[in-house]
Amino acid sequence: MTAIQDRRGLRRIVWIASYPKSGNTWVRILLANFLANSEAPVPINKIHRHLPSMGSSSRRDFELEIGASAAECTDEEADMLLPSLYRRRAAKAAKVGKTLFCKVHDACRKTSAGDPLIPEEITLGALYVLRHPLDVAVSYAFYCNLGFSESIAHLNDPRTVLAGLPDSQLLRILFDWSGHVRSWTDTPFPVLVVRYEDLLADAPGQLGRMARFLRLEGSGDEGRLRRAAAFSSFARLREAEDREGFKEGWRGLKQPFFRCGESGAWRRHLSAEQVRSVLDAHAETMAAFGYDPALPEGAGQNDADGVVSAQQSSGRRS
Amino acid sequence: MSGKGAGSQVPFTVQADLDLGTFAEPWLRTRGADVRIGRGAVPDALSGAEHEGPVWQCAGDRVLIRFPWNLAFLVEGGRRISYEAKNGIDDLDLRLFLLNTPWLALAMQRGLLPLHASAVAHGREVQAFTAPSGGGKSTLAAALSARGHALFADDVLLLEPVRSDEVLCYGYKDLKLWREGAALAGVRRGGRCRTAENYDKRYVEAPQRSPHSCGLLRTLYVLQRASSRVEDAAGLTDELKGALATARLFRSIQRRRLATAVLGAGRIAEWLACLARLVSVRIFRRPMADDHFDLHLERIAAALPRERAGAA
Repeated sequence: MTAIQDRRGLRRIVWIASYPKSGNTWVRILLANFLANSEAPVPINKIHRHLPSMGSSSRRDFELEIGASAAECTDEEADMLLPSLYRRRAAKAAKVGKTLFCKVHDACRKTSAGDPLIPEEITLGALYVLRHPLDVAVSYAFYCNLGFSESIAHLNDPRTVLAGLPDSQLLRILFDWSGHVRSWTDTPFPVLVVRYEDLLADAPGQLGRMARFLRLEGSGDEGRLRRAAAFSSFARLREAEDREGFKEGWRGLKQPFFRCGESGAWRRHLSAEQVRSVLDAHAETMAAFGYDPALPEGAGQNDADGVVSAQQSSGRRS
Repeated sequence: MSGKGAGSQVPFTVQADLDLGTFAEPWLRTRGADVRIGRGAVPDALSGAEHEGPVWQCAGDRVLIRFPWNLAFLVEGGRRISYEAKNGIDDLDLRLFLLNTPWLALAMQRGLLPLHASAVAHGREVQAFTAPSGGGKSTLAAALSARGHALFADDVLLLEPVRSDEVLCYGYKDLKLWREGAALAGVRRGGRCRTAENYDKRYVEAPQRSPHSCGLLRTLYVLQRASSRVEDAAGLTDELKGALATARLFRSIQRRRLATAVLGAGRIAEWLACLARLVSVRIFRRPMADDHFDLHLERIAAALPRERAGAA
């Protein structure tokens, strides 16, 4: 994929997009450590100090920028106003010559008014963080306190949404996993796909790819890339979370946010039927991005639906 | 401005051609009010707008608020709100939106500063809690009300300019909660705030309500989210002083971009510096996880004055 163009005009936003539990936070921490270029890791609750950030679905930002209360709006009304929130942020960033990095879990879709949620004219480009859907299903289940079958049902359902009004986040419309991936990889602006598994295998190398795509200064500095990757290792993040807590997780989170951080954990948790359900639904998209859609050997050793409890912040649209 | 001073209950009075519910009861008059609210012509845009946001414009003493769903308000000179509501906007929706940004713009035009805060009162002494939307202000105020503290304000606290050593504030008591918040606070929900099926916020009758609309702001607690996994991070901080307190107060202003446009940045800065001197500002960190709620409710309740409403 072509790197983003020079920063100019209102094109000020880099979207860091992903289906939930695909490594979005990790990528932001990697970039923050790269940009900070310091002798110590960036504290996990202060990423925004080094990575100029904007939330895509924060009620606080909505109210500040829109000048109306999100709590009074229906989901559809708030959705209608989101592109104007992003435009306003981009205009402000342009005034001071800044680039904003915006975490987003929404699919790249149309709003309830029929406009693009992600306005092209303010977009520099996007990093799309992709993870094997079976691992997403497991991680999403632990994160949302769902059973694995329910988590998989969300991954397979084009009506899947995240968050509800009482939370600090606005409603996010995800689609199913394949729909989400397709929405972000067929866009009118440059997108770099970063696979979670490749990050695990070679974080400095992948960070270098991202830095070059974003035309960041220092993208060829191997020492800087290695140090940023080391400061963002799973062990460090988990240790920091145990010590300081991590404020980005939702309020019902029962597990550490940085819980496992591995690839292939689905083998320990999912039954053959559950695995098949995901592979059947997403084979084409998986193959397009280098994931083997065949039923792997050893799948189906598990038969229980481990994590089960009510979950408030995820659902499906009727 | 009518009704000024510590002895009076409201900073201005209102008459309206629609039912404003219980929200503004003490402010309502049937005639001779300071402010009129009624259906009327609302322009598409204001010529000569000096400041604007995605749904509002400000030009001199006029503020236009226009939502893309056929709902618009014009607030003029602190004396009139005209509204235009078309296709599918019912009275509940109209009331809810009217008593939000347009009402705040009106208050600003009349020289009041809105804080994004809920509050309880002990006699006329007001303890307020500020946080961004979704930060638990209303739930906390409702829970405290259910435990005998008198609700003074939900979501908005209007402050008078500081003219003495007291900070006069005004609140209204239409408590609104989502289902989860009401369950956590242990209060019963009443009528719907909107008729839309997928909108489930409801009005709540606070178990204890302050009889006063006007009070003296004593403490502002800034509610901050702490991790539920690190217990040490929770609790009440020492009082913030000077610039730190001023910065917190600034971030607590409801619709602060609109407030800056209407009231002016200089005036607000001066105002906040006075407030920081007269009001105790403290941060209260607590995890948002539901199973921590009661523990932290007890902590904040322990910091409040012991006498209950009606005793003072």
